[in-house]
Amino acid sequence: MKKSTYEKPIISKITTGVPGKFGLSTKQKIIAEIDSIPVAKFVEEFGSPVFVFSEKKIRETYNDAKRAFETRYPKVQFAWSYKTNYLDAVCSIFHDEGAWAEVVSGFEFEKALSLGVNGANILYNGPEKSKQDLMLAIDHNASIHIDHFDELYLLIETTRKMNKKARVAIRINLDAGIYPMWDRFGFNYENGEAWNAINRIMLAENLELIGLHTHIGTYIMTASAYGIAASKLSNLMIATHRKFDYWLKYIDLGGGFASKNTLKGAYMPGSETCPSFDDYAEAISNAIISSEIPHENLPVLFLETGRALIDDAGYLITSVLANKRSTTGRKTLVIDAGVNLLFTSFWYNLGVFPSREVTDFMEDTTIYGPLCMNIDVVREAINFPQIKTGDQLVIERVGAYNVTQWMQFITYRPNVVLIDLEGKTHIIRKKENLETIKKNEFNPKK
Amino acid sequence: MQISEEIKISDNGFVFNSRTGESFSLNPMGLEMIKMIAIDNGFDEIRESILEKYDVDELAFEKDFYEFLAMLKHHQLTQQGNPLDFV
Amino acid sequence: MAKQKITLAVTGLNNTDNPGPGVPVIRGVKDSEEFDVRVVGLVYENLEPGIYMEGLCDRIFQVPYPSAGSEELIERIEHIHQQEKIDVLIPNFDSELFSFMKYEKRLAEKGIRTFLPTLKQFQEREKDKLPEYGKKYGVKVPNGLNLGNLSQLNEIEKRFDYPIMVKGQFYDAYKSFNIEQATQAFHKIASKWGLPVIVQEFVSGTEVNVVALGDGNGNTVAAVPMRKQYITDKGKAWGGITIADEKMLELTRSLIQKTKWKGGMELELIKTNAGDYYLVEINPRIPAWVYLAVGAGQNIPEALIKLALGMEVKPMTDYKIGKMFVRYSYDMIVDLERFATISINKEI
Repeated sequence: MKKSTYEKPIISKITTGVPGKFGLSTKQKIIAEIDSIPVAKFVEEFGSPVFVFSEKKIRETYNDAKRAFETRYPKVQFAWSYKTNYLDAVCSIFHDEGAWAEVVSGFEFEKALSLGVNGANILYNGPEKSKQDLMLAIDHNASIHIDHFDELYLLIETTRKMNKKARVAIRINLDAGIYPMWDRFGFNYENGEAWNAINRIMLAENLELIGLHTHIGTYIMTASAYGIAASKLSNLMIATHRKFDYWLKYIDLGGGFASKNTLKGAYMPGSETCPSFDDYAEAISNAIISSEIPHENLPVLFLETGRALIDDAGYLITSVLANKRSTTGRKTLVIDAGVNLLFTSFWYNLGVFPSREVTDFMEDTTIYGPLCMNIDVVREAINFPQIKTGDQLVIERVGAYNVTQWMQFITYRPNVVLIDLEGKTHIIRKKENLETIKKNEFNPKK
Repeated sequence: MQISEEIKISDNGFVFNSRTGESFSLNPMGLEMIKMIAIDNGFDEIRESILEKYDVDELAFEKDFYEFLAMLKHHQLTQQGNPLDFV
Repeated sequence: MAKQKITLAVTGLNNTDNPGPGVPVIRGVKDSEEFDVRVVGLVYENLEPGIYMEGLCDRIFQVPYPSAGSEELIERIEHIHQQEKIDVLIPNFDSELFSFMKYEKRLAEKGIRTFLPTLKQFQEREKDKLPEYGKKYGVKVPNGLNLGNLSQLNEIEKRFDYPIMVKGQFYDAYKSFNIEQATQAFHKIASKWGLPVIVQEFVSGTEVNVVALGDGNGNTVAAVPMRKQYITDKGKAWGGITIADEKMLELTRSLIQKTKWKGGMELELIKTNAGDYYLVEINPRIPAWVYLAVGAGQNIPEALIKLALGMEVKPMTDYKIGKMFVRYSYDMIVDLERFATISINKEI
């Protein structure tokens, strides 16, 4: 006789009246495979935990964004935001799709060059650019986005010494009606600082001002804020033309488009409230096209979208190390990936899903990482089914920032795997070993 | 381990503690086990019966069973002794 | 004429001291001379009083909070629909509206009709956009300032005289008399409801409200103005009286006409001693005191059902002036069994 399916016995207290989000057993979403490859197979081949990227998803998302903008605006150019994910394999896919490079440090600049990106196709952002970095950028004819007056004067001095011209844009901060307003980067629009900077640059003989750049913030859920930013940059472009009879070549609206992740403290899931590429594109294109800039002088629109292009394409597969009960009786799970690999878990309620069928009974659960530190919490509270120790879970939407901000703390960083368009898997960053860590260490006592 | 007298268990999995006024819900397996515990079945009897009926191995059952007992104790559904009385 | 049989699903059966509108909405439709209504109560919690009220609901189902994902909420309702065949659904919580607006079409295709504001109407009335709203539609609103960070608190003293109102985007309001109190209120609100925190000039006067229904084409189908007679410490009316205030009705009709408001709404206004009306808030749904309007002669829940069903509704302009409502609390004696059933089976 065939035996019945077993389920772990559970008793839970019925909470009364108090509004809570849990209690109803709902259908649990399962992620059993990624691009048709079973989750267990990745662990078998590459160990646990393991980051998995889908080339298919990257290209689909990129083309979705591209379509949204190109159908609304005549000149659009994406620049891949290196800081979001600078794994060679990932950058190469974006460059293959036609994206330029957007870098914020000398290291990222070198990395872009090493991937064969033409220096003229690099946008160089950020508040930290040393004299050497600037010389490298000038030599490669990159677009240098100036952040502050000290940098402007350093650049004037450097170009003089090198007796070379630099192509520059300025970073502008402005009030686009969002909170908090980022005013620490760039020159302010409202108080006239940006206009002063433009005037100074137009007079500098070795600087060629070609664009205006802003980056209004991160994870912006209101598309209309981009519209406000775009019209303010358009105003500056028109003012520059009036005074100097010269049309700037581009407007760069930076990044900050939200991904579908859910921010902590948000009431509704991000997948429902986050604007689509079409919403952003509509707001931005409308603002520029309806400005006073004549059609033939419309600037190229640059976008440095990072998060929204890569978050969905990255997964982290992890295994359950232990099922525990806290002293309050609360269910807790310990998994083999923690905040060391999931920097974004500090601000998102990341989606964690079982990789195989589970029973209906759900419990309010806390998911801990494997570190011996109290802050290592992947999810404070998630309504979660019963999972056996040793089973795999899949954490979705981890493609942005995690593989650049991860920490090498008490253990090796894991394999990163790419599934190509044919469904073949490739290690794109090898799991670290003792040698990776020790090769830069020197021990004077030995 | 004995279930306290004042605990009422309904067939739909609703558990009511008439002394404290608290109520609890059981999943079907929890209901089956608590009923066996309530009629004074020991660990061995319950294990035998569950292993015979369900597709589960001995160790997995043991782990779950003791966790379940701990939860019953946590929710004060069992007759409580002194926790440091190791007998 | 035989009454038309319909099945109505309603949320918000939380008739507590901060009541949801579900129970009064049901009372309204039960008074209807045109509909014979079968009521399906949708609850989020097992202690919502409506679950235990005799003769209120024919069936009760627990549903998941929209914050668990709209998809799950909608799927649960579609599942209930298979058994109960819901004709009209009236959601009564602000926090649900986004989900129901988003899935309005999908529900309609299944035969579940709603009558909700559009997303644009819903969003442009949000608290932090009130000044623009006032300007756009020609209504007086209190001067306001949205604070993105604490340093902007300095702006307050340049722009306002004390006292001021410090408010959260979704809920909560504190009256502050100095910068210290305002700072405290800012911290409390920012940690709970996020940024921006809204500062409004305090307009002193009488709190008056209008419950109204717009047909989506600019017509006001119903509107009843009320003056709050007693306000609880939660800021809710405990007693109110219908008043003959043509100016308030004029303001309501003009706003509904300009915005083409669709669905139920509540306008919260302050009438100053000088006789000016300031719009403080627009609630995008029927308020909990709607039964006063029914008692005064305008059955707004019934009219909303008709609009949802695509029936013609003649605008109601008459109502009895000087009708009052007085809320009361009442201890029902109920059996544990009902509590056990909703907790375990999630339906009764």
